[in-house]
Amino acid sequence: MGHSKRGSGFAQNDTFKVKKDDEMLDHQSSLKEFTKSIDKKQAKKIARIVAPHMIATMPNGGAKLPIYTGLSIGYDLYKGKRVTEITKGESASFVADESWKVIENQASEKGVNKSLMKVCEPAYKTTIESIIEKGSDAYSRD
Amino acid sequence: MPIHEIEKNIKEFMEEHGVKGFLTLFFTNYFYEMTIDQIKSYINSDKPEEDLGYQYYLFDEEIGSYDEVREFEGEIKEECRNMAERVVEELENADEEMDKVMKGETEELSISEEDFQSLLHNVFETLHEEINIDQK
Repeated sequence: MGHSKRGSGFAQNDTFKVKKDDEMLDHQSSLKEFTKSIDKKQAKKIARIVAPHMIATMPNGGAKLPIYTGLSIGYDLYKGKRVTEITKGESASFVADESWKVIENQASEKGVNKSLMKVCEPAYKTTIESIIEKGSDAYSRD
Repeated sequence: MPIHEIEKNIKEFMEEHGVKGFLTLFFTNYFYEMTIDQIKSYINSDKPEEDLGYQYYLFDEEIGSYDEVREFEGEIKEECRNMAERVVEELENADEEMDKVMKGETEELSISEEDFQSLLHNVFETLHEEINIDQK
């Protein structure tokens, strides 16, 4: 495809630092200060600021693990794997629940911040359920 | 829902949109949940004017209709989708291995957890910096 690649790999990435869970609290506090000044009608501004701020400043090991695990499940689905969860499925929510347990277990073993899992869970389940219920139409903007 | 239909829909989605489509949807929903959660979590019952959990439902100083609230949430989701597309594009272009993953070229997920987190971290830092610049 001829994409131009930035950098040549992760080894050269010296800006990457793993943040600790206690730092998460500082970031949440600073964000609360910010949200005081939000004009709620500015939906675009809110979304553009809140989500990148949260993710860019959240601790690495905890926050991004659910995303990686979600990706690994998505990849397996792409490759026609994960048949256990699917063939046991009777409904979209059942399949979403079963595959979420994989993420939850991995996150729990690694001590992921529970408040982040609370946000990730509906996001993951909504994604899986919409794919199961709508097929390729799940991708279209509502 | 019949199992064959579940399988058909997953297959149809993955064939048409692939890993890239899955991540785009996942990020859209993740950003959306995060944004809504953050807005609603700022509660100050002593000062309603600072209580975003309360103001979330206010439109022109009155409680909004169901449609108004849904429209507001829809606007947020639309913006989250724009961000998700941007993030996925950045991820795809930032690293050779991630590019292969997006294209589904390897049998197993070939990027390690640590490398993925590192890559994602850099993408979000870039996005965050750009937004900070936009705000100034």
